Amino acid sequence: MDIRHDNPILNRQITDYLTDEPADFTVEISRDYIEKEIEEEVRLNKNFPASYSEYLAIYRYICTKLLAYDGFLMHGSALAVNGKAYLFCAPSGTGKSTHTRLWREVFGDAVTMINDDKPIIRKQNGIFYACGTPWSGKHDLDTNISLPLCGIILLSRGNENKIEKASPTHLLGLLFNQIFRPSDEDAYLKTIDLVDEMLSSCPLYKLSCTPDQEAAEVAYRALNNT
Amino acid sequence: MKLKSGFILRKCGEADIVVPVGANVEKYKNIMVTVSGSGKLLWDMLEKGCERSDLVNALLSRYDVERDIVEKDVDIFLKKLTQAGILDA
Repeated sequence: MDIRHDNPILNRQITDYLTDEPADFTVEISRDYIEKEIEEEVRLNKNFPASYSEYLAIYRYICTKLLAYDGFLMHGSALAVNGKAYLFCAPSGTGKSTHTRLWREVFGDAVTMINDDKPIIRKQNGIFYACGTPWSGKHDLDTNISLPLCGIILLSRGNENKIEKASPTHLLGLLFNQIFRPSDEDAYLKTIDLVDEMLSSCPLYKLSCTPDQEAAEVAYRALNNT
Repeated sequence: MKLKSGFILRKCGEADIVVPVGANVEKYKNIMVTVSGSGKLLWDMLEKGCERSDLVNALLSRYDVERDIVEKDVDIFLKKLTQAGILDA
């Protein structure tokens, strides 16, 4: 894509993602579009610098475009081990980034952070991939890499570390709260269809965990036994 | 009681997601309601319009469950739809 914005945050984050290949589409958003983003932030009691709002608005626009390429945004922390990607999802503040930090502490260089906050999930040739992007939350942890998504893990805080496979039936609400929902009707329906397909090809887990390294070990063992 | 118009169900996994369509898209863009299991039967009845007792009887004729349990389930279901603002009492 050809991003026609001189945004200081994006300029800093995007260096690993630059290419000389021809662009499939152009990204040039209007002042109005950015204003809408700011209105939404105000509604959520967030007060970001203008350059950060623009940075996020650019991503929102790109997400609407990516649907045509079977891609959508799923809020969560995505990492990879042994060439397999795992996405940890939970409401903000639960401890996704803390949990994936524990993975890095335990497994060191074997762990690649794909995107710590806002990965794109994309279907290509029937396989769902977790993709790094230059929008990855406050820690800026991301890698320009796409790897097959081998597990979605819904994380919650607990007194012990426990992980089990889960049926999506009663967890759809939780899942969709972490997925970018386009306001366009057809786009939303297409997103649901993609998620439906993703759930039939990718296992879902529920992880209850403490903020200790044991949590990463327990999760790793369960995810790699399947 | 009857469902407001402008909502459709879209299958996702073993359940369905309620999707606002047409004029409802903007107004209801933040709702997240899912329907699973026998909820689909109730949804279809409410789409046409019916009473609470119709819903209870429909479930009783289909499942071998005590009436008070079915009534509780129906009330939970109706409460969710009411809270989401998509049911006209």
